[in-house]
Amino acid sequence: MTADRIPQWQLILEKLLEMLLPHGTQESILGDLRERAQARRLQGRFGSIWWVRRVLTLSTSLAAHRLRILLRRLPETARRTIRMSGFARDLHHAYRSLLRNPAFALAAAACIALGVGAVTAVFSVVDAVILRPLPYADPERLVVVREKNLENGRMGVLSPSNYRDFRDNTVSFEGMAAWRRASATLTDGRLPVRVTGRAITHQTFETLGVPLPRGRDFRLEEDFQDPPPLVIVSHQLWQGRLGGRDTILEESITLDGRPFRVVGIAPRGFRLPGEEGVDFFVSAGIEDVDNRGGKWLRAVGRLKAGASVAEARADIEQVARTLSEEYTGSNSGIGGAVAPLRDHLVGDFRTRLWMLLSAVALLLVLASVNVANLMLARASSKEGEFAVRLALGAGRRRLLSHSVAESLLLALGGGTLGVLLAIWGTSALLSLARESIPRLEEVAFDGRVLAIALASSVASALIFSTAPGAVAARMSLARVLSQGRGQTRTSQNRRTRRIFAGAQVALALVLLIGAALLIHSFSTLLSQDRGFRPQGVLTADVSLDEGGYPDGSSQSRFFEALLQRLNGRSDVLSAGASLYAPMSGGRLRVAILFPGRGENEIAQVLAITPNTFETLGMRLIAGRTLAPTDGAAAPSAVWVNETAARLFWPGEDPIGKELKLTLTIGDQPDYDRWRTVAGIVGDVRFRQLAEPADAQIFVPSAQYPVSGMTLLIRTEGDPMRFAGELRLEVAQMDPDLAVAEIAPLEDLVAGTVAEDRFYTVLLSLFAAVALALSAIGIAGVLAFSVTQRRSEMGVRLALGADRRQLVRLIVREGALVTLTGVAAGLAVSAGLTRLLEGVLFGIGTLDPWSFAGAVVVLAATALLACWLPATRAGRVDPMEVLRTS
Amino acid sequence: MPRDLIGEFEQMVLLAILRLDDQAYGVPIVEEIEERTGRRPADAAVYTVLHRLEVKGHVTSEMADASDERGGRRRRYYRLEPTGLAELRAARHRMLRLWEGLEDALEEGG
Repeated sequence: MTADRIPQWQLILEKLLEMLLPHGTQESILGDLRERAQARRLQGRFGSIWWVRRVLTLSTSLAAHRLRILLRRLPETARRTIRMSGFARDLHHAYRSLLRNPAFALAAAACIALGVGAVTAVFSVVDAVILRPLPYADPERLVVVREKNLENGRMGVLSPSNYRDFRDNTVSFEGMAAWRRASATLTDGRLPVRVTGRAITHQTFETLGVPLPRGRDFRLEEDFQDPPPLVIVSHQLWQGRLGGRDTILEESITLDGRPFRVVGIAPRGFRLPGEEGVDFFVSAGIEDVDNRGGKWLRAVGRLKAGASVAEARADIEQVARTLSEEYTGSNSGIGGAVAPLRDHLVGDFRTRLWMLLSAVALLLVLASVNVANLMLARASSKEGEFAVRLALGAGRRRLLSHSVAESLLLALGGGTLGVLLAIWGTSALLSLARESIPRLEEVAFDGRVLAIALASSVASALIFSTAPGAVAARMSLARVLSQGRGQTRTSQNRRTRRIFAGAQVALALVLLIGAALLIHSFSTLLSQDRGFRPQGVLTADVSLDEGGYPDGSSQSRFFEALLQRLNGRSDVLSAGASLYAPMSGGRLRVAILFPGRGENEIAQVLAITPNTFETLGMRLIAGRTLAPTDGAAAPSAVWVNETAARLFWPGEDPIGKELKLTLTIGDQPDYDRWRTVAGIVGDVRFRQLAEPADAQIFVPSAQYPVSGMTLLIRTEGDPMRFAGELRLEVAQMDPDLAVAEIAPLEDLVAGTVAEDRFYTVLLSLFAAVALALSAIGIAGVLAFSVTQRRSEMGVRLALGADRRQLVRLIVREGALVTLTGVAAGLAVSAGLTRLLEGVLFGIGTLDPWSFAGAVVVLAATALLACWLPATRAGRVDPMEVLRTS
Repeated sequence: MPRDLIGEFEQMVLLAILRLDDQAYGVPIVEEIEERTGRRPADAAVYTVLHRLEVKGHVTSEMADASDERGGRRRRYYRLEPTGLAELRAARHRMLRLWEGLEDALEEGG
């Protein structure tokens, strides 16, 4: 019977209760609660509802008690003012009144909680991602530095030589930092594990303004080729695998078979801008690398104090121009680009997050209107009570004051529930969004977020308190008395309620249309032709260490042998390997040279093995496919995709044409090797479904060996079932190798659309809630109508009306409300959907199918909402009505 | 009339403490009142009264007996003080005086 049986949410509520309890009583009272809960558990009588009720009653009473004690301490004058205003009494009275109507109070609080919770949750994400400054020193002075293709405007990562020239020949920057991805196998006596890292230039931490809690940054002299084996480990790796040892700075860890001395520990949670968290950092070693063609460095720069982004941009562009004149081979047509770091990281998400925020704001209004409807219903039944009060001399202000007190309590209670809902909802949101949205790890419920929660509660209260307030304001004793007991001013009230219900329908339609647009856009995205067939293909990364495979030929021999084994298996349909898999986020962009042409082009380059085209299910359009005969000694051949053929040899047949890749093999730049185009393959969308394919060039890995490749294995059935076998195969070839990132290719594809799916799901959720709320609104109005018009209907029946006519009467009322709501909603949507401009794929913001679909769904729901009250109308018994009226 | 006559509910709590002897803490006090009166008092009301009684000096309390099922928290045991006992007696005496001679009205059917 220990504490780990107790669920997390109960512990959180206990903590909150503890904060409310008077000092000195917390221990005994909370202990008593636990004791009673345990006793109930033993008897099998424990229920969460019981427990929550206990907590609620304890917290409200004791909080009130504390408040009273606090008030007693106030100076006498203040106390007298409060007492005179009677508002305290109104609050007390409102509290009691709400307790007497738990159904109403709960329904109202639930609506408010829903609205406030949604707003708070989304705002906490918007705050963390967009509004809060980045976790680096003076983040406003950080910019991202990239190369730009002047012809088509595409931006990309830098080559080492270009990076150094940008850094050294400009005057606007205080410093720059650059990095590329790295990964290694960590061996320490236990099972070898694959770790990810970044190779960073010297003083990267200093440039970012992030001090290392222990150890030091890399120095300039450590940033040359073949850098000394030093490593900075992440906080996570240090605390985890490395045991959090204090002596770590004097020790070495073994990466890819080599010992690396630990010289520093990165701060907890540190990430390079725009990157995920990694395990280690090594030196990039680029200070003396002469390579302008191969591009793989991501870079940021810190502006000098006083330098503007525009100045830095002009500066870089100037340097790029100079370089393009000097190095026509690799740099012609290449410019530089500078953009503020924050914009670069979150720019895309701004639109989408504001869209979400607008959606939840609508939801809040909708929920508040629902509460207003509830309050109107209640106010109608309390009119008699109000009238009596007026007769007894209560001023109109008192009635208003009472309504305000009630609204305030509901708003605060619902708002608090909303914050709890938001805390839970945000953790659910985060697990959905994961790597889709940057900076999610910074989401926290701080003062700003709570302030928004408070503001939403107040806004909600303002909306829904207009209802009973209006009722109270129009109160007149004479009017009430003249209508007789039990009869109230029905028509005015009903019209107000109908307006509210219509407003709810309109708001729900707006959200529905938004969701429909996103759903349509998402399905259009998914139906894009990827150019390959991911079903049934398993991907896995294998990296060879320099120790065991020191040169290109040993590397390519390994992969050749491995693939031979795999292809020989009966459970493998076909197997190949490429430098990186589609949709894996990998990309190698290289400058291409053509004979007789001055400028070069940039294309995506992949080293692949034979069988890769077939394994991926790519189309061969012309020429021949890659064969095992395309070995190291064979004539250099390449394959190009349709886009490359179109861009580089417009109107000509590319087969037989030649090109050069400005790549490095080992230490030698490979500028001099001409390669002949042997075939054309279909376009493959390598990065995102939404992005049309780059120009792609495929090189046989035997002719461009690489030390790490992604295996692509097509099997029958579920690809993951082959994972164990794959590990065995690799281990049999070399037990020191780790196979990493084993995943079905389909998962990688799904990952690229994860973000779109996230927004679509979320907005659909909001729309569904909105739909439900508006259906309740309509049903409520009609039910009210049926009750009010019972005598009228009884009379009609007695006079010979058909029951169906009564039903039609009610349905007509519902239809009227729905139609006006739909009309208003369509009008608003036509204007609002512009917000989705940059977000939709393949369809316009006024897509007729989405609009129509949303209207149909809404109409159907409204019809359903009419059904119950309408059937009640049909069952009215005229004799009973005539008797009781 | 003196302003700090102890009220009915306070009497109930004091009587429960008296009856429970040295086992008087939150949970059994509430249960005792429920058992004897047929109505379960609100937890918060009992705690508030206990606090008030302690402030007035009619009871004293001490913390003891932490246990695992209470999450390691101790109980607050209450004990009647002489002034508390005196108040109880006085209250009973007052009521008896008021009821004197009116016992017939207590009979059913009267």
